[in-house]
Amino acid sequence: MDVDPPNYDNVTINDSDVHSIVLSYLVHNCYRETVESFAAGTGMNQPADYLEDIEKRKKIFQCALEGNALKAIELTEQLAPDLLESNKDLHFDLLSLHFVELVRSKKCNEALEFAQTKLTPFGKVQKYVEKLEDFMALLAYEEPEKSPMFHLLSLEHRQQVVDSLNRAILAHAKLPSHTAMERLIQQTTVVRQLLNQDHAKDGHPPFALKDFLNG
Amino acid sequence: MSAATNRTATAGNLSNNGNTTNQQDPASYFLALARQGSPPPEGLTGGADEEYEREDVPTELNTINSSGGFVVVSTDKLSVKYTNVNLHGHDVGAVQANKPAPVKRLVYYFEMYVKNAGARGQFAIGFTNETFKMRRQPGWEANTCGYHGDDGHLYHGHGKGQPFGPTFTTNDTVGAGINYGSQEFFFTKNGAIVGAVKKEITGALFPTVAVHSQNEEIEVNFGQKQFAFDIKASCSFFSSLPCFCWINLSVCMMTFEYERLERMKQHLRIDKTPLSPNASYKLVRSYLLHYGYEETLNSFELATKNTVPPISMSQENGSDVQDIMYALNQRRELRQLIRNGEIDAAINKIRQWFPQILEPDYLLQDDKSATCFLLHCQKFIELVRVGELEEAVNYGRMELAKFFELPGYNDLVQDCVALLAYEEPLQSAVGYLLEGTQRETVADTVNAMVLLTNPNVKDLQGCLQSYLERVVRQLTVCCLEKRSLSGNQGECFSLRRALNSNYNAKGS
Repeated sequence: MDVDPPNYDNVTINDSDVHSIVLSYLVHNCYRETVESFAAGTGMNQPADYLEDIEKRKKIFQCALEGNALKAIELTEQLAPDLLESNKDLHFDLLSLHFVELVRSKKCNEALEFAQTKLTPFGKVQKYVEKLEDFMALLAYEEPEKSPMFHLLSLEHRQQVVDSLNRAILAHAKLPSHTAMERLIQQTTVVRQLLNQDHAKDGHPPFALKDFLNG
Repeated sequence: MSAATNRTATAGNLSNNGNTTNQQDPASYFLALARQGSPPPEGLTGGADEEYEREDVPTELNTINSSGGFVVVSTDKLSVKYTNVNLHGHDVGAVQANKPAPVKRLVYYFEMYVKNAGARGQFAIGFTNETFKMRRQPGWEANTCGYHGDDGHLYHGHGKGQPFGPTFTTNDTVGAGINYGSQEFFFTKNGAIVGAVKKEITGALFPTVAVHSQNEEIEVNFGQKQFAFDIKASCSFFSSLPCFCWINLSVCMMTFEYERLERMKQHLRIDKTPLSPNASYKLVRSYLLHYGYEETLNSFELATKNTVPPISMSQENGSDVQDIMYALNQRRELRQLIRNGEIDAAINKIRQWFPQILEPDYLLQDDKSATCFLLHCQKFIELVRVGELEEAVNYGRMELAKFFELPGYNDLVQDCVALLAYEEPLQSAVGYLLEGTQRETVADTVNAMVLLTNPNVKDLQGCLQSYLERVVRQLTVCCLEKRSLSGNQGECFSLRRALNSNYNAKGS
């Protein structure tokens, strides 16, 4: 029997659910020591084996974030052998990170060579052709940061690629690629918005988590 | 598995963003919390996590209320034949299922097979309400809906229908379903979706079939046999998907369950909801601060200091953070002591640091101190745990007896005392008191009371629950409200399912 809807007074929130939500965030971001500390502090049982994988995953995305995309690729192949094979977009994005590094360090010849050997093979598929063009365009500028493609050089772009990589590795290991925490925030926002629509409150501003928490 | 501690919270006025307008008295809040682990009274089962409640489902045709004289229902109650020759509008042989369609799920579906089109092929499939008169076609009356074989029209509460799909006749299998997610009726023919229409009818709906000319004969299938429209594989249900879904789904189309497709629509919407930057980070940090997990917090701050890009806390409301950083170190120590069962040591520290929370009438805790009470109970429990029963009895007489008659306190005292009665207290109904979660509750109480001693505290409710829990509660309350707006139809809310919405494209 489910909770009688008008009877919201007794909405119970389960402690262990809340702990799982926090944990999901920590695991996703590879905060290993924090995971251990939290698990100890709350008396949760942690399977030891996945802590090892956390370290490996962490190394991978640290490499990528620092600009060492090739190392990241190598480590990914070790941890999740067929991942990049089955995820061409990601593979391309990672390789292009390396390309971008070369451009940034002004090693234009090397960059060109790398692009020709590693990136152009993707060009057999139409969607990569446009991406390729964008990347190659960087080479045309003395100061690529001033080009229209400057965002490809940015930290945000790198962050995005790393984020995708992290999620792909998690999915490959049959772990959730989106944390329960993210889902919580998104779900709450969506349901709240749907409710606002249903109630048809005029002029009611869209639900914003920040306001809810401050309100 | 231990019964986890749960947190109750008062519902707020939803228009106020779900925050409570009535401040809850901390004493009663924690007293209630302390008994959360006890088994629920008779008659109440599980929680919102139970899926597919035991609802009755249609299994056969209803022979009691069908329009006698025009139709003959087979002995197995799964086929109908029209025996009459009269053909005017009030001689329809409509038959309902024995039960209404179950509502506590995402989708309900059933099928009808046309054995014989008879003289005019005027059969129909659809849903009707309880008061439907069986001598009319489903769809002709208000609160009914029907897809008719002779013209392929959809009838939805009037004698005049609208063009909808193909006609159907002998050897065709048609199906009718309700999608509670989108609140639609949908119909199929020979395994393919014909279309859908918004369902505005509320209340119980009975699967209904009808025949109307001589020798028409149909069979129904309420799921006992495999459906033609394999709800396990829908290929053509993209008419109602917004176009952005096409791109994402084109690859997966062929192998999708109809239900999964519906879920995917929901997930896509969620997926596309932007997350404000660092929202997760803030919720985690404030959770750790709130409950005084100092070591974890230190670890966390160290780990996040080096993230790229660095997480900016500048948007954080300064005073909020101050509120929960208050007495972090002491709260951490108190939590540790209580978690280890060292209640005496904890009480001593509290006397040293925050004596006021042990005083009666601290924050209007009547003339008793709920905090004091919970600590004493826990001490009693710890004594029982190590087998010091005599000492426990003495302690109980000294500290707990006075609460025996007090409403709000007496339940817990009685449970505590009951521990003495069992050889194996853990196995008993009061065994929950011996779980680690009980210590957590006491630790949380002390934590909240200490937070409340902060002279700068503004937000009482904020001391009882962290932001994270408030978001969880908001989600729960909103989902329940939403479901109640659809007449309580659709799947029951399950937090675990909601947060684990990682739909698997391969259909596991």
